[in-house]
Amino acid sequence: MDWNELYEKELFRADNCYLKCDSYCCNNFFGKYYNFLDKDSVVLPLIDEEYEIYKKRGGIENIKEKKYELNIGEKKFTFFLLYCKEKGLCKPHTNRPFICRTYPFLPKVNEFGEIVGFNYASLFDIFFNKENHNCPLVEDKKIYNEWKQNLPKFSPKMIFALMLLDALIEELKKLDLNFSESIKQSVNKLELILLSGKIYKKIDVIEIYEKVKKVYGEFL
Amino acid sequence: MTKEEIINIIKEKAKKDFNETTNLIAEGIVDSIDFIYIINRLEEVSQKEIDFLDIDPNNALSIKGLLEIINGLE
Repeated sequence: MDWNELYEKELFRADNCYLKCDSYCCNNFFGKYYNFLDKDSVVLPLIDEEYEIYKKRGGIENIKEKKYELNIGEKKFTFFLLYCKEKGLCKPHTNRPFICRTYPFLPKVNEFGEIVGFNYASLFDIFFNKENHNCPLVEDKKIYNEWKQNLPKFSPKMIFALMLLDALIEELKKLDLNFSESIKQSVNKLELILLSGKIYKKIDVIEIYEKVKKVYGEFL
Repeated sequence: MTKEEIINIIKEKAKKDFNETTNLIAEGIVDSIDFIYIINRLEEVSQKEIDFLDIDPNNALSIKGLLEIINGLE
C-alpha cells in the first residue's frame, strides 16, 4: 500500500462543505456532552505503517499523540491515536491522516481487501442514518462514488484494522442507545462503554487476524 | 460494598482531596485512564459487573453515585 500516494491525492472533492455544517467533522460536536473523554479533541486513529509516513512527512502542527498496542495472541498490533484540536485549520492540511480524508465514510472490506460497503467514520456517527447525520456529504451520491473509486488497495495490516473497526461498530450498533431521544445520556453511556474496554472483549480478534493471514501470510 | 471501600479504591489514584459528592473527573481528582482502573477495581472487589446501559452515567462521577450503582446491582 502506497501511503505517500494516498497523502498526495484527495479521495473526493467537497469544496467548502464546511460552510454547510460548521466543520462538523473537525469539531468535537459531541464534546459538549462528554463526562469522561477530552471535550475539545477529535481522536484520529492511525496504524503504525501510516504513522511512519505521517511522521516522515512532518505530521501536523500542535497535535498530541499516543501509542497503543493490542495483543493478538503472541503478536502485537500497534496503532496511534492523534488528539486534534485544530478544528479544520490543521497545518499543513496535506498531511492530515487517512481517517480525515475518508470521512464521512469508512471503508468496509473483506479479508481480500475488497470494498463491500461502508460504515460512518466516527464511532459517534454510527447511531445516525443519512437523514439525520450531521455531515451533508453522506447524502451526496457523487461524492460517495468518487470516494469509492479513489480508495487505494489496502495493505494486509490496514485490511485487518478496517475489519476490526467493522467488528467494533457491529457490536456498538447492537447496544440499546438512542441518540435521538436522549443525546447526553447516550453519549455518556457510550463513553463508559468505550472506556471500560468491555466491548472489545466481544470481538474475536484472533479470528479476524487468521482470516487475513490466510490470504496474505504473516503480516504483524 | 461500603463507602469506605470505594473511597479507598479512588484514593489509589486520586490526585487531590475529594468528598462524597465531588465530581471526580470535572474536579481533576482522577483522569479517564484512572477511571477505567477504578471501575475495574470496583467490579473486582464487589464481584459484580456494571452494565453501563442500565445505569445513569452521571452517577459514575461521584462516590455517592458509584455507591448507588454498585449497591443497586444484583
